[in-house]
Amino acid sequence: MCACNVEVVKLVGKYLNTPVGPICYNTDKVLTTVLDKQNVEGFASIVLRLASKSGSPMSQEQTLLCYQWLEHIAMYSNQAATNPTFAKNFLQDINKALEKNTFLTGQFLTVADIAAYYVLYSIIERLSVLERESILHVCRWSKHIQAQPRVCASKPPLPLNTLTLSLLAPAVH
Amino acid sequence: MAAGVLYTYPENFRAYKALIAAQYSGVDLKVAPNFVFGETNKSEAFLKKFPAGKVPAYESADGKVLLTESNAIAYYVANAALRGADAATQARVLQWMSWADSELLPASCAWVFPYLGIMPFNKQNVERAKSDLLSALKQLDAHLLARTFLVTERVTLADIVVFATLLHAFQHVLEPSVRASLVNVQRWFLTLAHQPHVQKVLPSVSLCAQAPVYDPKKYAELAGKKDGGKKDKKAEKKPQEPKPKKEEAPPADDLELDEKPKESKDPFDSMPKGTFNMDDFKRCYSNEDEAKSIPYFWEKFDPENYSIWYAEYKYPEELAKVFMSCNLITGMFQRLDKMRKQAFASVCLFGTDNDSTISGVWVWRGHELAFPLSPDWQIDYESYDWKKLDPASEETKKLVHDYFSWSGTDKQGRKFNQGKIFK
Ligand SMILES: N[C@@H](CCC(=O)N[C@@H](CS)C(=O)NCC(=O)O)C(=O)O
Repeated sequence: MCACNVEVVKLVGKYLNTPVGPICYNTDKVLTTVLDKQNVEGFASIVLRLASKSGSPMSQEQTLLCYQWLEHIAMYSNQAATNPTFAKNFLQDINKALEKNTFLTGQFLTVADIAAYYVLYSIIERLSVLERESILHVCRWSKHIQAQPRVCASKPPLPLNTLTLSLLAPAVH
Repeated sequence: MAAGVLYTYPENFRAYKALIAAQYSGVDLKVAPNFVFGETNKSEAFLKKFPAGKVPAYESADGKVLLTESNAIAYYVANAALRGADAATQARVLQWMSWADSELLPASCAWVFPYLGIMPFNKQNVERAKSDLLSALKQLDAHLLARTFLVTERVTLADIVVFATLLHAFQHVLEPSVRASLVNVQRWFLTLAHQPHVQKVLPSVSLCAQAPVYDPKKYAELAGKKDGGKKDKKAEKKPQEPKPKKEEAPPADDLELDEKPKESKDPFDSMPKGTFNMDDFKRCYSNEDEAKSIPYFWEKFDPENYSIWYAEYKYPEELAKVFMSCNLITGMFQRLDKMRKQAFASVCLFGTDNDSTISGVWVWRGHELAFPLSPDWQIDYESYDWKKLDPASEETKKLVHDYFSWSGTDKQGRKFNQGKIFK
């Protein structure tokens, strides 16, 4: 099964409050839809098009960074979804990036965070407490993303509050 | 609504708390135009409303609400989202605001102000402040490991107040290598600095690019201005900065500056000249090989009227980079400029980056520690352990030889790296 799938695009569409069109896989197994009477192919392109349709403007730099992250995730998440060792490295890379940055592209929440959250959801869901502790920055970030309005409208939040995070950083110091 | 006027001088980090909060809440908060620090806030009209004469101070548009204390003002012009939704959240917000005032602010001021020249530089005090602030920041870093913002998943007054309180430190003393050890704090700080509402008040925050360097002239200038003798002394202070705590600015410094003429006298004048001619020795040391100059030193040295000292830097664990350590030594030499005439020293750095020590051999006129003789000389010497050497002992002969000729090792056997001569 594909991690950057139809379901994720639909979730992003819901978050952005933007219709996703007739999304499906074409004969080359590439995610495809039709937006504004145009064919749009590939996970990253579709997500970015949805974002710009929804009217959240981004600088060119932001757009490029988003594209980079979305492509990265589209490229490796399938393998991560099926291979736990691969998943570990995949998450470690993202964890490293989120150590210095609050969001994937830096200081601002973008559609890349939202899409990545939905893609990583099932991978993180399967991790043990110990495994989660090795990617604390990803956990912190997930916790923040799922607290954004509408993100949890169609999926319950990951249970990140209770065990790991409160253990390591009690609410009151 | 909480629309009103904020009395403050420009670039006051305390005023930023309220100004940023007002951006979030949409409250119309204007900075009082034509405010002159030391005048406006000491005027009768102002004191009638705000008897303490301190800023920031707030007056609501209808004149009914008068407030001082920057945290209270920020609270008033904020909105429910910034203050917290329930009592527990509000209490946590309050907790961080108090923490900023008690755990961060005093240490931050005592560390930053000497470098800005608004407080005298005392190595020990600065070191203590630095370690206090860093240990508070360690706590903050642990807290932010698993959090995006301090209290909830969005910006609250807690973030705004702690951010404003840390502004000076981030701009002036928290150099890149220090920030690298506080990666969560830095991430949080930068995210706040980039929030659109924050940027309306602070369009760009530039972070400290390198370890701060103390400039004694700055303090002398500002302190001199302060004593310039016009009206209220306080009013003469650089308005951009809050006033340093009283106990940290010993009045002795003011007195010294008042008595300029005396200062130019050589403090060594009160001691007998003896037979050792410092200038002759220095000339010999500069021009000749140590094989000649060291015997010359022992031949001419006058133990009656001169003394030899061994000095060891007390905080070797803080000597990260060799070049910084060298700056430490040359900085000290600069500050001791007036001591040159009757003193000589060779101070050496042993070891390498992150594993080094500083020590030296000093010679000067008189038998007491020379530094208390002049207020200018007191900045650095407390950072060293001083041991008077017996000129007759073999041990001293060896130390003098090793340090004057830049050979040998430190006590733990670290190799000689660099030396500086005070002459
Ligand atoms: N705790 C107060 C401190 C206010 C304060 O000390 N203000 C200083 C300038 S930053 C002042 O107005 N000093 C004038 C004076 O003491 O005469 C706050 O946070 O507002």
